[in-house]
Amino acid sequence: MASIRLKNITKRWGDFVAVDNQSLDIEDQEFLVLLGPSGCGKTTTMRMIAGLEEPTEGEVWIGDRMVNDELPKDRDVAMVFQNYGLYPHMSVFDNIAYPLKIRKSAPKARIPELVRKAADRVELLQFLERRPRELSGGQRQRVALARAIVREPQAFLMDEPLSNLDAKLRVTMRAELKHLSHELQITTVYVTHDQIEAMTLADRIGVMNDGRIRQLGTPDEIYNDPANIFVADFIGSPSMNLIQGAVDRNCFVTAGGQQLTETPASDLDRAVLGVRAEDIAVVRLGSTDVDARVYAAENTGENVVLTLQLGEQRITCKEDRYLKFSINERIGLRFDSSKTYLFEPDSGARIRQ
Amino acid sequence: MRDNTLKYLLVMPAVVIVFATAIWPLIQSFRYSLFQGRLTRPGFPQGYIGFENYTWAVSQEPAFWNSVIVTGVYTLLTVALTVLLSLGLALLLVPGGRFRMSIQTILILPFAMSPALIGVSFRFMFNPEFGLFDAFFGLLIPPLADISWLSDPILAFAVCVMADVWGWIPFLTLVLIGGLAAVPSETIEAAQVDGAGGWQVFRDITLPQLAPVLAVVIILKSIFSLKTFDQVYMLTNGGPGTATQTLSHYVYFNGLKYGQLGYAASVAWLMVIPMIFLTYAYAKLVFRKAQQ
Repeated sequence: MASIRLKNITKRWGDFVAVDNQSLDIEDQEFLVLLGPSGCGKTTTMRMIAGLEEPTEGEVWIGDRMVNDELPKDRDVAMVFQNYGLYPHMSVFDNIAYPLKIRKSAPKARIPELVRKAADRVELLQFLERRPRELSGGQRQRVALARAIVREPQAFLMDEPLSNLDAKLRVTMRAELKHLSHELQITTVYVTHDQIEAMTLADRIGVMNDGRIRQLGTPDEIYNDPANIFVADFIGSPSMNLIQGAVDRNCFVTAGGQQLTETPASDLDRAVLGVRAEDIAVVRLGSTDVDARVYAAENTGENVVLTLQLGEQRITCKEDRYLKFSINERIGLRFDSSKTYLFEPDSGARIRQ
Repeated sequence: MRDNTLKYLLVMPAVVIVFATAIWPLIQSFRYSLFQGRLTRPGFPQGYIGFENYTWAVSQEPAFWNSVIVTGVYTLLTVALTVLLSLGLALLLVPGGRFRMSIQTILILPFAMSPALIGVSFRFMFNPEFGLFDAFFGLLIPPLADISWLSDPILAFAVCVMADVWGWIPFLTLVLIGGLAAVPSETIEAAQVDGAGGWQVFRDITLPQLAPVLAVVIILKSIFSLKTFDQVYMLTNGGPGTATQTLSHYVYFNGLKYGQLGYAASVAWLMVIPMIFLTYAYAKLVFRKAQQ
């Protein structure tokens, strides 16, 4: 077990910059999730830790070793791949045993016992004689996990391990992963584009875009205290409402002139107000200064998602599932100033005061 | 007209053509192999002698066994060399950069040449007076300058093998590049992370996944090597003596040159025996893959 440290890592292919001068400290035993849209550099970052890509600049440290010049086999990390990367010509048993055999890290006689222990952890014991192609997607994923946990590596690297599973299985496997990581207590770097996976699994999340980590923090911090428009917009479903407007005498005013909420910020000609769908309250028309028209009301079963016309802009808001709305109905809205975020429109940076 | 009748009618021309050009000649050649079958004498195919041609070839003809050995050694050497060299080349070219496509195009050129042409050009290159190799070796290793390659039994055989390997490497390389490209890179990366070094990855991961393609390639090349004729005919014409006389060449000599059609047909049918095994194995591999 070890910490992982990236020092000013850059990866370029020709003119394309995949990872841009990124530094990152991952604590020993931490579960760190790299979250971001496809092409943001999260997988490249992980592959540089594994040694499957060479950084153009910067240093990769695992524990107290600088590993830039070490081959993947010498870095002592275990990796779970998006398409599992199972060896199709080997049985499940041989797949799991391969790292032990090739490293000679365990005496030969102990290999069956270790393989069974790992397989038992992921409930694969009855499939040991099968070939990967005779298994379902979820079972294959378990084989990949078992192959990673059969030895005790310095760190686990997981590259979108759940993205090929169907929605239902993904939820089950997510819980199993969470349980497993709690049991094993090994430093883990986990790459995903799924924010729910990130929120549920992570000790800390690094939200990446364009080759840089835009915010690094606990799931709570990322969700409740976004550092910029990108993070605010990327996290949450439906994504955060970003309302264009201005700040005038401690009040956020929309482009259409409606005074939405108080803000401690000083006057600004242009500003963006972020507010999550669940933090907007629908109230009786006339009881606040804000009114909107119902553009669409969608009952998801769990709640009602409203799309509202607020002046020139549309916003979404989540309400109790027992409330009924009709299209074009006019309603009042209340914003809670403690749950709104103010951003600079050009740089996207958060305005804090 | 009923659908069924029309169906058979439509297939009929193909059946007739296959029968006339493949099945009928097969039957005829088998029939001739049971007769004396001398083209040079009246009354062809003369008297029925049963399997005497076959027993004669196997028991009374050292030249037949010479050809069997020549063909066997030739097949073993050409298959082994071509497959090994092609695999090496394919491994070099697979991860390659942007020049790969143009190199591949150049690579295919030797395969685009007819085997007879390869034979002729190699005969020129090994000519002891004005040949390319002669000049080349003469410059590098003077004692080798005056060797007359095609007059020495072992050297002539080596030249035949070399010409064949040269002609076949490109095609096999391309097939193997295709096979290697189909090996999922994740399995290779997984093995690297699991702790395997370069050679171990190749031995444990790449080679087993390449095995089906490799088997097809080996069988295909064996079939082609076993029936080699044109190149040998142009390059050495079986000589010196019978040092490079493959079975096909032996059949040709006896059948068309000496007019012993019955005997030649029986030797051709003896050649069918290894071919059947190889073709069966090939078909099984290819069709099993298609079924999956």
